[in-house]
Amino acid sequence: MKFKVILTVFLIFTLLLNMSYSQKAETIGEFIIKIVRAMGLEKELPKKYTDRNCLTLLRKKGLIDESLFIKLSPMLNKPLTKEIVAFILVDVWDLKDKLPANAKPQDYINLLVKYGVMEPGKPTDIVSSDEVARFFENPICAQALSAPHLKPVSPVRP
Amino acid sequence: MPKVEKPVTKWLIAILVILVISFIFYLNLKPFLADIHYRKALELKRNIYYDEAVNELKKAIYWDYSYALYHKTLGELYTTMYIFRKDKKLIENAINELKISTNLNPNDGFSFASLGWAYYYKNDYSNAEKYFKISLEKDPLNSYFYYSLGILYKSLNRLIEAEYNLKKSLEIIFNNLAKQALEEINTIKK
Repeated sequence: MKFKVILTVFLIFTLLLNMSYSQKAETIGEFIIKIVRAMGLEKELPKKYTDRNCLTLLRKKGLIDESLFIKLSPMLNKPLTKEIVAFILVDVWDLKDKLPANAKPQDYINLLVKYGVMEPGKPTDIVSSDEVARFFENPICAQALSAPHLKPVSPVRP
Repeated sequence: MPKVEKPVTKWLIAILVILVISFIFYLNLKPFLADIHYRKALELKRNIYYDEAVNELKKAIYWDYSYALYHKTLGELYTTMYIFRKDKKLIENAINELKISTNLNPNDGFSFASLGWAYYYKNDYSNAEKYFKISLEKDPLNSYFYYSLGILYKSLNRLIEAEYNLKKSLEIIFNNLAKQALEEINTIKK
């Protein structure tokens, strides 16, 4: 009887631990590192690179603009939100001309939702590690990136 | 008088038995080792260590070449890498691996669909159409295959065919992306 109780408690504990792991929020810095790795740019970084190195590299390559660089610099340890993902991706994929004039954070999200890259949500919604993993693995997201009506994605802009 | 076995024959039998056991063990060990590398590759891929994941998948293929799933996963990984890196060699590698996968398992419609997408990204639309159609032949009730064909026709401005396939995709399983694409077609038509 005692053994069954201990086993049940152990299983519930493991389940909760597993759930909390999958719900773990991604930080802005972690997301930027993944973008750099996906683009195969980490070879241009020092061996032990940090999220700050990655952000600087994206700026150096012209993949993000100065205002976003300044905005993100002090926030690298903060949890990733839908708004930040949308800001980064719109900049990296050069989609600003698809946004309405005086675009608000929700417009950025709506644009990526339209291309099937993101799921709908509020700008302040936290993005979990699982969602980020799905984003990088989702073939439909890949399809949206490669759609002929979008500019080609390139690590270095021509 | 009883016949006495020569000690040499005994040794030969023992060696033969050891060899047979070792061979059976080796045969079983191969898929086991391949699976270890495959799982490692999935974890690396999940954490966006694409180059390292490619190496692990190659090791998995080295141990078990005949398992279509490893080639399919490698092909899809090369396609994802191509999307982010735009290196033509990557899409060629993707096509090669996906072709091997379709040869090893000709009943897997998803391998044909992935091959179709690889050609789509390469802007080789005739081959993309060919492989999307094959994937539909393999599984005529698959919403994703209709969606893939619909998106291809939409890109080619063949709007009637696009509309038909996207509607079929929606009939099987409702999905926002097919709905979105259909709405875009309706806007273009207006």
